Amino acid sequence: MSAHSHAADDPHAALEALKETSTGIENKKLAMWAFLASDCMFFGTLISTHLIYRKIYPDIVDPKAIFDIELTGFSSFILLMSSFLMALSVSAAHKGNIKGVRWFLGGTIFFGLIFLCGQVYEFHHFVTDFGLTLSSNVFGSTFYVLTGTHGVHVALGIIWLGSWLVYTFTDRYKAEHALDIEVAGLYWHFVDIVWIVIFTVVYLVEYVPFLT
Amino acid sequence: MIPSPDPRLPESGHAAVIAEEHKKYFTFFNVSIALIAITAIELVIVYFPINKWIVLTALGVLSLIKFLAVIWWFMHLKWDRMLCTILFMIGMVIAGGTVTALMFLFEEDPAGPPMMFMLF
Repeated sequence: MSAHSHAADDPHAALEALKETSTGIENKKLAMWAFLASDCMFFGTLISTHLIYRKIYPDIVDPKAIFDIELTGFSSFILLMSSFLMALSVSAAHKGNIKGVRWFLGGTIFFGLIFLCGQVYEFHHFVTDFGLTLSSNVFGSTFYVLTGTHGVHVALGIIWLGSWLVYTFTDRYKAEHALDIEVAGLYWHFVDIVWIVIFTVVYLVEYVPFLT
Repeated sequence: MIPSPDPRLPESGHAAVIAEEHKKYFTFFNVSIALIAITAIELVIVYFPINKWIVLTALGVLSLIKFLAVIWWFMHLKWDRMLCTILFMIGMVIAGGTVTALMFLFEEDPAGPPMMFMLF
């Protein structure tokens, strides 16, 4: 029996119907995975640019003197927690638990906003206290472009998730939209894994002892 | 002949989804606790006065574990079709290859060891 015939009665059947593609994967999800794969390459070039210029011009800036690893560490915890809440949000959407979707999406957005506030504070601190701007030196250029691009991804994710949060309060939200929440979740988790890499290669390695 | 629909199927299908998602909740909770613990270890390990290569290796391994945990459980690759994993890994391999190629390309001494192995 076709899953379509159940779709009107059962949210699970409605979601299963969306899998009736040649790959067995929902088209939206497949498109998002393809986009994330391309975004990997984008961030790969930004990260390698930063690393290369850190190696070529090691003495332009002493990152340990300007970084606030406690703040950055706190931001990392916040982003990981937002990822956890996003996973719960997707789970709630698949269960048809609309209240859960709202609460968890709200929590994800809240933590995402805290992360962004931390990044704005960090940038403001660097510019006002250390005079590090996008054009002051090559470290500033690569650092702001890399972390700023990630911040823009976070901001876009917050807008996307926020629009879904609003949508859940309308009558138009249906069980099939669990897939859309899941696709938005994939994007949000990707933002998290990019930060995992940035946190290590941009921030933590600067604190490794005996590095000259 | 098309079999007649089982009236219990929608309910049983949805109940199975709820049971599956309930199990995932505990998985997600455990993964998030592990991710927090690993991040805490990363923050502490950089202050250890030990050989820098040990610290760098540990940071790399811990970051890789966090990365894989997020894509495997939070991004549902564990439960999705293999094609999603393959698609994402294609991007990862090309990105990794680009990083490696750039490191070699901008090597101060092209005949020497690659810069990525002697960063900083």
